[in-house]
Amino acid sequence: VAPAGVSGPGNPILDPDEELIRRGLRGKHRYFIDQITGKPRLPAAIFEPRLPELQPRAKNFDEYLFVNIASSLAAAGEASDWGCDHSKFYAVSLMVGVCHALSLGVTWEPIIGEPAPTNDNPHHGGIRGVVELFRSNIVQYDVVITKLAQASEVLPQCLAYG
Amino acid sequence: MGAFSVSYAETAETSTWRTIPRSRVGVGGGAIAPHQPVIVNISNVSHNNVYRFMAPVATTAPGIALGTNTPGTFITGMRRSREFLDAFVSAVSLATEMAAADEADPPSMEIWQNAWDALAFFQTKLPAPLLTPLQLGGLSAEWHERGMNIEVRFRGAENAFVVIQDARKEVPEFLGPDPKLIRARGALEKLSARPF
Repeated sequence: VAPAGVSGPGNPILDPDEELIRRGLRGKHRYFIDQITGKPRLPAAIFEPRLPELQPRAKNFDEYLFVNIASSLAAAGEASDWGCDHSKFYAVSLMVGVCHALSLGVTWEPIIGEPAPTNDNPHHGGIRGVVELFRSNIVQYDVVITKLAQASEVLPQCLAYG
Repeated sequence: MGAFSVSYAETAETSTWRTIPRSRVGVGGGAIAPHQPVIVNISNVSHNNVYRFMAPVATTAPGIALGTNTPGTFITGMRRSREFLDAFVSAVSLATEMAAADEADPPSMEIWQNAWDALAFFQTKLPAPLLTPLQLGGLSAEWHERGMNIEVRFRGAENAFVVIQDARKEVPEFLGPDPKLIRARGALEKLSARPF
């Protein structure tokens, strides 16, 4: 089932109040309390994409930043930390409106019929525009990932795990 | 550790702390070099001008080289230095492991060396930074404490992106390139001066 207001796969999510969930590797990232917002968050590096020109031998690349869509998870009766192994990952939440304010697009990108390790994920979405900025304007790219990070917050379930 | 006193028969002064030549202190101060003055708290002065020290360990004047003023601050500085080093060693190990697992591009040791060279000055002054490998082999060094967010993203030689935010508004907010790290160093100095 498509998230509310989304007509089909690959189409934009326009609701600014839609919540997005992104994972960050625990070994690579540590959460901290942002001194301005007072909220727990992760470093801006969590919003860096994996790119083929940087990792030519790698198997997985990002055309866009991978996220899960909270309303899709909720409609399926899943928790917002669905698919997040807390021993390996943190998960942060972010509003679509933040992405729009930074001139980034957000789309619903359900993954259906994929074998492991990708597997099905009907709640999958993408933040579009960050990859393009990385290739065209590294300063603006740094500004954008900074603001995405500052607007995000670690899910309480992750904090409870440690 | 009882109180002790020395005779110091000068007229009463109003300030709490006094620097007294080492030669004029007849008791205590075990590890103090003879030529160094002793700073003492004279808040507890008796009517016969006998200065009563609250503890038998006197404090030497600040050393010029390390900026320490007590054995405790020296030890704290050394511990911080070790934690600083450990943070870099752990981070480069992690970045190497991630590159081997095709999860990140390999760390650029030129960039990481630049980062170390730029930040080593603060190794005894600040807690270890939160270090995160970046794309392009770079490194992010961050401090989020005492009201400040300071992020320095080292992306190449003289290529650093810096974020400075201060909840107390004592340091101007900054978000942008800082190739010579002028703003970053200024903010880190401010942070190191803030009490824990």
